[in-house]
Amino acid sequence: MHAVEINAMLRNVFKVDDNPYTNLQMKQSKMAAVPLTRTCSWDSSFVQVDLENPSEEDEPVTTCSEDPQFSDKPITLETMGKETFQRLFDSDGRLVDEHLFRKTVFRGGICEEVRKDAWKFLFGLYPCSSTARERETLALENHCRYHALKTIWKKNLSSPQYSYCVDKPDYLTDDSQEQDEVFTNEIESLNSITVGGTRKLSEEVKQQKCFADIQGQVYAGRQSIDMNSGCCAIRIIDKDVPRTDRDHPYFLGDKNPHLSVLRDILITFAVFHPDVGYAQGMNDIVSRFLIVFNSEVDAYWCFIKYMENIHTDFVESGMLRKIKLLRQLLQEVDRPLYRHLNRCCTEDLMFAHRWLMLTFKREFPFEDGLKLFEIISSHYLELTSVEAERERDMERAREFERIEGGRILETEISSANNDFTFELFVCAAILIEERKLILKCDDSASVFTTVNGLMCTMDLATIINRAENVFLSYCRKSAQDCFALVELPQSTVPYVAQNHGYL
Amino acid sequence: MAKQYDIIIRLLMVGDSGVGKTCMLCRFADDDISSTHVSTIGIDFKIKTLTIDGKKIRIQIWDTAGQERYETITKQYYRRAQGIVLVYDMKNEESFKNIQKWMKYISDFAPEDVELILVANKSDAYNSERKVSKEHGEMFAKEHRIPFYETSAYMDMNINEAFIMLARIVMKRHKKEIDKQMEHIRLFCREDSDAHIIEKQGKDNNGCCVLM
Repeated sequence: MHAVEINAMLRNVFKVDDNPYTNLQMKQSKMAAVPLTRTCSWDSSFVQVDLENPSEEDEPVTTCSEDPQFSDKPITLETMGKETFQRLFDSDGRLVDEHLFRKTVFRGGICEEVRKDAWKFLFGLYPCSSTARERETLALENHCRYHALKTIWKKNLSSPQYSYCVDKPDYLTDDSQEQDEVFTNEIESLNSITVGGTRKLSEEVKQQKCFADIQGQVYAGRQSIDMNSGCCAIRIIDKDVPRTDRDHPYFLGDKNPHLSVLRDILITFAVFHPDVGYAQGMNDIVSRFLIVFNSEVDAYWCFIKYMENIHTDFVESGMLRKIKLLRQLLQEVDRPLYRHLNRCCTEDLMFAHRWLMLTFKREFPFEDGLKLFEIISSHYLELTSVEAERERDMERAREFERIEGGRILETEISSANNDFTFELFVCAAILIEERKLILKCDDSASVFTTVNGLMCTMDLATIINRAENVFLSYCRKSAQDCFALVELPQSTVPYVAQNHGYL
Repeated sequence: MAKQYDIIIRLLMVGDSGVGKTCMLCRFADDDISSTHVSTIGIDFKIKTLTIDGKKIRIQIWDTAGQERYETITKQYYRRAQGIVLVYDMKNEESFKNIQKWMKYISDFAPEDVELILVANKSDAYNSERKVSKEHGEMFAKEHRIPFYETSAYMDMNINEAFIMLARIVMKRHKKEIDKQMEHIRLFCREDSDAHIIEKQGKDNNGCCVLM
């Protein structure tokens, strides 16, 4: 790359434009003026790592003690309110700026009042570009498809071939009729579809519903089903459903009808997705969707959307892969801590396995857990997102200035491992946040005891803020490592580069 | 820092999903089962310190998820165990049949000198709900020469007895090392009675406390 091009790149990076995220001055003055909230962007705590001095390797990428963002002032989360959410829509009901939506969710989650509606976009149940009218059609389609799927396995299960496989569990309501009517209001609301502002004649609606029903049956008939592995799944599901969130008001009480809804969703997923089936822990995830939506159909399809990209995390190899990624990440962001855990024989980080499987559901009180779930699911801050690229660009520019344009660099290479999802940074943040306690441990038992003791004691805002800082530091580090790739002799090339096969 | 115990022993809980492993453990370690009605994901851990025959014992108990797909994770913990609690649900015949499978894993992955007990949990069940008779359980245990208990985590029946029995037989198995260790503590370590667990290989001769 020519020097001219690099200069142009630098100008681009430091351009003062209307975007507050690239305007350094604005950001710094803003930070001083407003009370401390998460800024998603600028973190002055970053310490330049001297790559040629190996002793620096013993410092974590983020410094824990001298971090100015961790002053006495409490860090708060800016929860997205009803008005902010409604302003995102145009007159036809399209969610116009998805990026802004995800950013707002990332800043502090969603208020309870609009959570139900917001999640439908957050998890992709509805495309942001859909109009309110299109969504009504989608809702009807989802309804019919789900019930057609459910009918198939229920019919199969009552056939002589399979009926002996599964005993009727005693947590179900006695009257099976009752189960199907838990959400009759859902169906009724679908019967009064409004088109163009005027309510359609019921006859026409009935026809539409009838057509959707047939379409749903055709759809369901095309799905592959595995009742044999399904029956094994059902036996485990029946163990787990009666012990899912039973202290939450939604599932309180004997023979709570919501339990059978949870069961149906899990079974429908398991029998029609034989490659994934049922994994313990799915119950905890579906129950979150069910509590938020209070709708069987929406909870099912949202779960489907949620699983679309991460279903492999629920099979054995995927679980191991995920925890391995956490090990790799921790080695990069806080190697001394990782080494210490290694000495304690907990280098497998198995205590964090549940955090990842359930997206920290048991590590925070229920409400905080929901917030963290939506913040992570916003995918606003991922290594593939614009924000990460911007952070890397800025770092490259700074680094370029630092070395005074010395050797020409390969700015296109990024040594960042894009498999490091934001939730892994949250795990790392928890460990770094509690590193003093963990460093006092001397064996796997004390590490487990310490980490389990954190349950429901951590401050969500602090953890997310920390995760963000670790994330941004990692971005800068990966940008720097690119320089290291071309600047340093092979022997001093840091771990990141070696590990990702760029040499 | 002086520790509050002389000896550490490490136990592991295995058995099918939903047989009550976690409930048993919580009853034993915290005397509380109310907060534990959730499925175990992967691996979990609890600790209990008690005195047996005048020795302060710290029992580390590793709890495992029962579902098959967590087995790769849980199997890694077998090799660290000195004692294993095999649990089935007397209301669930399948879980009793599967004890065979768990025994197989133990012989494949646990140390050779590991001690076992067999536990039939949920003895609070009505007679009509019982699917596995006491005789069946006893017979199986006798065949494999391991102690057998019928317990109820719910009613707190036989839970302490079962765990303490396992702790005792683990201690008996490692009596030599423990005696040596206690002697060491008596002679040298009054101030700082750290109990160390040292892996078997070749460390017996360096004068440290050994238990494994």
